[in-house]
Amino acid sequence: MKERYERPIIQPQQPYQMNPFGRTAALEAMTAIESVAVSELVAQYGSPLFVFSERSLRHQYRAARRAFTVRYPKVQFAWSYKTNYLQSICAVFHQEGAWAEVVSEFEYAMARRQGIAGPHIIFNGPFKSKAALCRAVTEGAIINLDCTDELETMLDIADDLGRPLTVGFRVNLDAGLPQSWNRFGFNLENGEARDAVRLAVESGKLIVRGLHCHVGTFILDPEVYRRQAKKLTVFTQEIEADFGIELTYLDLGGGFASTNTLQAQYLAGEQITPSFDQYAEAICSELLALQSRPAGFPLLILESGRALVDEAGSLIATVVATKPLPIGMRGVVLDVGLNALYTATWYRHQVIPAQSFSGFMEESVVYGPLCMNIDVVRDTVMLPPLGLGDRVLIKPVGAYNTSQWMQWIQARPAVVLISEQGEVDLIRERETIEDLAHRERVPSRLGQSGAS
Amino acid sequence: MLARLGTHLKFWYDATLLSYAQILFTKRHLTGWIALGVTFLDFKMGLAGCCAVLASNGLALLFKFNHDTIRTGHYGFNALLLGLALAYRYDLTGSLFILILVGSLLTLLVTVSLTSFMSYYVQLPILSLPFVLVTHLCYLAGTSATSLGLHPKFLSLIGNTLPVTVPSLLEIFFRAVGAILFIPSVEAGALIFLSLLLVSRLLAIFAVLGYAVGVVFLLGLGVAPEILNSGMFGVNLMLTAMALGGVFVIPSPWSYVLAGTGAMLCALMGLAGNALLGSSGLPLLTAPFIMTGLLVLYAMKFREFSPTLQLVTFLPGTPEENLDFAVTQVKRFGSYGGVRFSFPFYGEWTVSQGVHGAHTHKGPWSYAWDFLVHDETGQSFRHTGQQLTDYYAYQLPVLAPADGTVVEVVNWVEDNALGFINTKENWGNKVVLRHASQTYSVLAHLSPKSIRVRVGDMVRRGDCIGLCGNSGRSVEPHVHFQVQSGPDRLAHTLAPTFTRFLQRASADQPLVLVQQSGPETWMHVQNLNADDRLVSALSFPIGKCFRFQVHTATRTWEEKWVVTVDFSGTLFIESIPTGACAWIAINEGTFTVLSYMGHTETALFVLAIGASLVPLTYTEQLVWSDVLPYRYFSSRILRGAIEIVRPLLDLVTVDSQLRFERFADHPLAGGSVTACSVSTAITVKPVVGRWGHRIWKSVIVLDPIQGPCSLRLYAPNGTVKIEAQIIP
Ligand SMILES: Cc1ncc(COP(=O)(O)O)c(C=O)c1O
Repeated sequence: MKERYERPIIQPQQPYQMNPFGRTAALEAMTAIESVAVSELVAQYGSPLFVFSERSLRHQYRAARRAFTVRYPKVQFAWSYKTNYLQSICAVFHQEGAWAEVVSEFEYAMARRQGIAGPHIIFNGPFKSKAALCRAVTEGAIINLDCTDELETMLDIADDLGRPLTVGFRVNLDAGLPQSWNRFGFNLENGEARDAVRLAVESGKLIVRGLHCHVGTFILDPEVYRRQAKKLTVFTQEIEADFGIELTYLDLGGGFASTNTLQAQYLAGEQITPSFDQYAEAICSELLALQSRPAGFPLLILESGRALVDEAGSLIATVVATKPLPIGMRGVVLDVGLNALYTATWYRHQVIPAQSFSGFMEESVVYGPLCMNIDVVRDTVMLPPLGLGDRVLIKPVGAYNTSQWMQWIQARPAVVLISEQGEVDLIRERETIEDLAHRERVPSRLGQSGAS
Repeated sequence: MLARLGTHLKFWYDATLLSYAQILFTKRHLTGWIALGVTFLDFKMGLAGCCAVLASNGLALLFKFNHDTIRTGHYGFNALLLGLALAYRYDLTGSLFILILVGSLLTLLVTVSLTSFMSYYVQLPILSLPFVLVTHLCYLAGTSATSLGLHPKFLSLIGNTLPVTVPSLLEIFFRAVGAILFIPSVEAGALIFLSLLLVSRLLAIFAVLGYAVGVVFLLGLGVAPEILNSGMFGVNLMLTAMALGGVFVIPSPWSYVLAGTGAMLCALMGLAGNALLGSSGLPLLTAPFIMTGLLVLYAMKFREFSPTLQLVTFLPGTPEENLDFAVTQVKRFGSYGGVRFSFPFYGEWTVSQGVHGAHTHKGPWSYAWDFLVHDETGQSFRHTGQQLTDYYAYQLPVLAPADGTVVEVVNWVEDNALGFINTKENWGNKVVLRHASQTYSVLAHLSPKSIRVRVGDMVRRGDCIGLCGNSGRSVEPHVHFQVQSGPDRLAHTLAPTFTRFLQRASADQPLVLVQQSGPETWMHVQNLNADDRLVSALSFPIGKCFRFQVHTATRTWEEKWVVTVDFSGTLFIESIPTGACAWIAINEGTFTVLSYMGHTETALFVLAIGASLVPLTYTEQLVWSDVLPYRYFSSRILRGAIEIVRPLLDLVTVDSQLRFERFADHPLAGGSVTACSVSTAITVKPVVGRWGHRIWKSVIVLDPIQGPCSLRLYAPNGTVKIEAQIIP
């Protein structure tokens, strides 16, 4: 076998400096995903390629469910569609028993199309048209109202239908996060939420059945949830006592961190991401205060997204060029970038060579294929020398990418799912120009230049 | 108006005929008709009996005694016997009828008082005790009433309507049977025996058995055979064997023994009674039977629990019905009626040591369980397992397994470091609860200072009482649970009955619904947690009405269900106008149809067999099973054959397999998308061979708002047998 050429490198000594890349010193090639060789996957499905592990999906789901069900008697997960709405991925979670959580009419239709019955869909989001609300009402979905305008719309619908409707309210509250999400729902501290509940109750047309509160996303501190759960518990007791209502569910939203590492995070995700048990302990130990209610415990709904799906997804990419940069770092260009990996703007994803390597680690910048300056997968990462055609794995990438990806400069890559038995199924084909073009209508006066 | 008249007529029809049927321990109109007919073999007797029944029931109605009780014949049958006894002794005169009227009133009063007294203080049936008491009173009174001419037939049965030939065995037997209705003729006896055969073969068998054993016993004692011809000697033997063999005791091989023994005891009592009363001229009537029956039944109540010889603790029917009910009941709900325990935790835990466990669950402490939490890979900890906090079970809530009172709390023992045990404080931190007399539970190895209850507190099932720890004799965090007979540590452990729970052998296997029995080591178990929607789909609030449009191949009708509660607090659904009833229970996470009465062409029947057991938690892939009474699924002749051998051997079983179909837009849900359905396959299975093997199917759509909104039953050939659709 021909020996591989190893490029010489020069690295400045940095004595006495803490090394935030300490982990990469132990970087090892990952030549297979769930025992399926990367080279085989690429040979069959091409590059770039999203690869999901069903084992990991189920494992995460079960771990999360176990953490909560051993601490609280009524727990229901609802799969947050926006995180990843590939049908096969949703189907895995639904098979495991998850309901659907949707935030638009579009996602609502998607869940219905997936065969989820109305009562198993939680309809959130800041934009729900009257038509969408009407459909959700008749199909028995769980609706969490976001603002007073929506409340008014619901009152209208109740008038139209001539019967009272059940609703929940999204509330926002200060759970001690640096910036709390206060643009969604009714504020708890300033009494807005309470007023909304009163309005609903006094109208006689709405039956208030639950509260929803999603405090934010990628929350690394379980104490945030403890404060959230505590405030919701107290609020529940208050409004139940004051308005004579009985809530049947408390929806604590999502936001649990995955093992990804935020751009601004110093330590690696694997080291500091709390376990589901830690989150569950924080939430459930507060909710247990509701035991004394005459109606018993309300249903605890969780809409965890990224923490369930992120780990399961990897992206196989191919090195299409390497270039020396004037700043002394190595530039590595991949065949996929922000077009399909939106989360690179958030996270420092791991970039792992998918074939054995040798030579010294080198500080590198990983670029995508877009002819735009923003297309950076990692702005700095220690990588061994990589050559043209080498593969890398980018992970974890299961959350938000296969829903937020775009058709821009490149077509969207294919997605495969590896079953628990190691079978590989193509769950989404690579897009072609036709996927873009067939929606377009070119006026006949311009027709000549277009394809027929 | 006509309808009113119709219900009145039906009431009198039931009350009258069932008074006749009661004498033979049945509730069938057929028996009533035959008995009525038999009394009219002798017109005077027939007339007297009829008058007595009508008088007693009429008076009961007039005095406003319970309408439903009158309808069962309970207030009529003693009067009937009295009427027959009086007519048997006295001539047909106007005075006789006056005596019957007054006697009936007396019988009614005695019946009412005795029923209340006996059922309250000793929980025993009154049998024909009022008849014996009042008849004796009347006879005694009659001695000074000169207008009542003594009828010569009284003294001896032989020399009656038939000329005396050498009485063959059969003839004697039939005459003895006839004496039940004071008509000791062969025809009467044969007819009565035939009616027994038609309604209950087992009753007929017990009658023969009692008579034969009693006679052999008497002859063995060297008693002169004439005694068999006197009075109601044979009747007593038969009634005793019937009562103890199958009416008040569940038929079994041992109940045959009891029936025979009972007949011997009865014969003894009869002899003694004859000797005692012989000179007074008062006949024994059914006194030996009553004394033997009540004595044996009462004494049997004080045995320790044993699966052999079980008393009928429900409303008795024919022995066949009793046996069927008992067998189905035991298979479905277990035989123990005490406290039912839930697991003391939330979610799914693993049994790390079960009953007769390898480590510490031995000897008097055999019945105990250790529980901890496993992940998918079967590990009880995450990371390296070097810290207590790595263990999944550590600091999880521990719950009260049933309602009870706290009798002991230990809350100060430190959690052991991993790998160490504390043998001085075996249980570590613990809570002892008292649930019932001689029923205590212990929850041990809790975390120090985590216990939130104090001695004397009342706790409810599912209340959090502390957190799981690693104190006492515990190598890793776990919960120890046992039920014991007393509050202290020396009390021996008991095998508790658990409420129904979900179980699987490992995390990747489907869940199984376990009906009884405790879980074995390494099983993953969880309580059933009621799901709000299923609860509301199967909630039958008292007073609620459901209306259905029901079709069969040949008929269409509107059926109404009304939810009521009976005197014992059990919910039941009454189907109008079919008259069918289903008793139901909703508790600890399941909906159960306890029993069904009525014919098999009603919408309620489909509910009773198709949703006989439903866990109120929607679990996909969960398949569970139940046992149904076979009598709904076999032809009359086959049933007869099965029933005769059933006390000895079960020839046919009827199992049902139930499962949920996915919550979805069910085609049967009629546009409602909020429904789930229970689909059931009912397998009728002979124990040997495949003859008669058939599968029925049903689908019931459950809607959280409307309840069971669509019911279908498919016959084994696949055609729709019954279809019902709710009328909103
Ligand atoms: C209402 C709601 N629920 C659930 C989620 C899922 O969040 P995550 O993926 O952080 O768990 C989101 C995400 O923003 C959300 O807005």
